[in-house]
Amino acid sequence: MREIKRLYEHYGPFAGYLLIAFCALYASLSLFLEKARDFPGTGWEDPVSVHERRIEPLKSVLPPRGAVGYVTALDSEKIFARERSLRDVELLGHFILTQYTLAPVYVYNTPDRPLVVGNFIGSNPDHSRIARKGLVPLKDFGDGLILYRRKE
Amino acid sequence: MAALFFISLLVPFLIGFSLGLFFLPPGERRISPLFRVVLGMGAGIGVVSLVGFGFLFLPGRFSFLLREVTLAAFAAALFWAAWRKGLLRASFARAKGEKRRDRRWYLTVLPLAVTALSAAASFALAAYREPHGKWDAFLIWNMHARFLFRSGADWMDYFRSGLDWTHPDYPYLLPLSVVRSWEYCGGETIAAPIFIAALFTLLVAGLLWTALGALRNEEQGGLAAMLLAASPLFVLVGASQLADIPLSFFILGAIVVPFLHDRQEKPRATSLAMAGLLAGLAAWTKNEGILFCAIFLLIRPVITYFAEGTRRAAGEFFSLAAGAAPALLVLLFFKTAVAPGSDLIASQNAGGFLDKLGDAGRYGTVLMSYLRTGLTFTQGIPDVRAPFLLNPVIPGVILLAAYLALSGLARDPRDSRGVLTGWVVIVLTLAGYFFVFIITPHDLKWHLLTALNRLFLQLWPSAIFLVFMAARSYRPAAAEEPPGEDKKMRDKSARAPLRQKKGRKE
Repeated sequence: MREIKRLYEHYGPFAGYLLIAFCALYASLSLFLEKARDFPGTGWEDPVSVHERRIEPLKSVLPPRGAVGYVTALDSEKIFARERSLRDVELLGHFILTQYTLAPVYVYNTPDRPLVVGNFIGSNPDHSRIARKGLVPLKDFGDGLILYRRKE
Repeated sequence: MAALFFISLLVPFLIGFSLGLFFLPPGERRISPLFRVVLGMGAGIGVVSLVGFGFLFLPGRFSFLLREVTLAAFAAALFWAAWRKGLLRASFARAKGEKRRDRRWYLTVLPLAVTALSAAASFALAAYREPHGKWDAFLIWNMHARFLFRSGADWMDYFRSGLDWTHPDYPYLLPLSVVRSWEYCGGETIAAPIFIAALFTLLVAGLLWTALGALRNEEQGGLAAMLLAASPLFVLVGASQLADIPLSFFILGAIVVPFLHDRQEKPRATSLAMAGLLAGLAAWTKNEGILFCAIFLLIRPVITYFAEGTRRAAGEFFSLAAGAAPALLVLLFFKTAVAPGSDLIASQNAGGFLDKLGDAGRYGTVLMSYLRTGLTFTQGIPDVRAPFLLNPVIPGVILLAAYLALSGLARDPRDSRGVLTGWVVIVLTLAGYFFVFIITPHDLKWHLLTALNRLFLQLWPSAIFLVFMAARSYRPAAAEEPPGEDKKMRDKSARAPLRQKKGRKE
C-alpha cells in the first residue's frame, strides 16, 4: 500500500501531464482534420454573403431610413414557430439576413407596411395570397426577390 | 486593413496595460509582463468601449475624432505617469531575473505549440467557411454593430424599433469594439469582427497560461492552455464571433486577480479594484455577465468575512464595487434609459413565473440537460439531429477530473480564499442559469439546446484555472515556493548550497 502511495506521489503528476498532452494533441488535430475535410475550396462564398449580394439591389430603391414589411412563402408567425420547434431554420434565416443586409432600415415580419420586401427563395410567390394581403408588385429583382407596395 | 486594425488596438492596450500597472503594482514579483499585456489588452478594450458608449451621445461629425483624441490623451497620461513612477521599468526588471527554463520546459511547450497551431488553423478554417460568424453573430452582435455604425446620429431609434428578436437589450462591449475597428478601417469589413474574435480567443488562452505561470509555474500554465485550446467548442465559438469568449475572458480575469491579491505580503485594495473592473466589464459584455458580477461582488467579501472579519470584508466589498462601478453605472444607464426590457422578463407576469417555478417536470428537464451538456459541451457545436456521444478523450469535465485524480492536490493556504471564491461563484452562477431556464418564456428544450453549452463554455477557462491551481504539478518550479517565504530568504537558501560546495572545494 505504501509502495502504491509512493508511486502515486512520484509519478501521478507526470501521468496527469501525459494524459492531458495526449488528449489535447488528439482533440486539436482531430478538429483540424475535420475542418480541413470541410474546406470548401478557394473562391468560396458563404451563404450569408450570397444572400447579402442577392438582397443588396433593394438598397438602391428603398429610402435610407425607415421601415419595410416582409413577406415570404409562409405566414409570418409560422416562421419563428418552425425554428422554435427545431424543424426549419431556413425561412427565419432568410428573414434575419434580410434585416442584417438592409440595416439601418427596419424590416418587420408583417406585410402591413407601405413597402414590403417579398423574399421567395426556391419557390414562386402565391400571387392570390399576396393579393389578399393587399400587396402590389413594385419591382421584381429576380431570384425570388420582389418589392411590393401596399394598396391604400 | 490588418495594420489599421492593429493601430486601433494601440490605445486600448496602453490604457489597459497602464491601469494594470497602477492596480497591480510591480512590487509583487509574481506578475510577468506577458500577463500584464494579456490582461491589459482585454481590460483596455472594455474600458474603451465604456468611453465609446458615452461619446455616442455627443452630437456632430467630429465625435470619432474627439473620442479618439481624448482616449489617446488619457492613454498617454496614464502611460507617462506609470513611467514617471518607475512602474514600467520595475515590472520588466522583476521578470528578467526570474526566467528559469531548462529542457523539461520543452516537454510542455512542444505539445502546446502543436495544439496552438492546430487550434489556430481550425479557427482560420472555421472563419473562412463562415466569415459572418454563426447565427447569433449576425442576428445579435454584428447586427447591433451595423445599426450603430449605419444609423449615425439616429442610433437611438433602433432601441425603440420594436425589433425585440434582435435582442437590443444586450450589452454593447462587443458591438462598440467592432464599430470602433470599422471606423479605423474606414468602413465596414467582415475582417474586423473576425480579428476581434481571434484576439479574444487568444487572450483567454494567454491569460490562463500566464496567470498559472505567475501563480504556479509555466508548466502548469502551458498544460492548462493546451487543454483549453484543444477544447473544440472553445475554438469554434471563438471563430463564431459570439460574445461568450470575451465574457469568459473577463470572468477568468476577475477570478484570477484576487489570487494575486492574496499572495501579496501587504494586500492592496487596488488589486481587488482591478478584479471589480473585470467583473464589471463581464456585465457590460453579456447579460449572463450581470449575474456573474453580482455573485462575484457579494461572495468574495462574504468569504473574507468568515476568514478575517467584518472590517476586512467591508473593505474588500468597497474595493470590488469601486472597480466595477464605471461599467455598472454605464450598464445601469444603458438598461434603464436606452435599451428595452429583456425578452426573458418583459413577456411574463408573476403568475407565469410561479407556474413555472412549481412545475417539477421543468426541473427534471433542466437537470438532465445540465448533466448531459456538462459532460459533452466542449466536444463542439451540437447538431440537433445527432446529439453528442460522450468522448472522454476530448478535453472536458471528465478529463479535467481524471487529471486532478492522477496529479493529486497541492494545497497552498494563501490560495484557499481564491479557490473557494472561484468555485462558489461558478456553482452559484450555474445555479442562477438553472433558474433562468426554469422561468424562461421560450420553449424549454429549444432554449437549453441553443444556449446551455455556451453558458458552460463561459465558465470553462475559469474551471480549468481553478483545477490547475489545486493540482500538483509534474514539475515544481520557481513560483511554487512555500508560503510566507520572502525573497530574501529564498535567495539566501538558494545561495547556501553553492557556498557549501565552494567551501568543500576550498
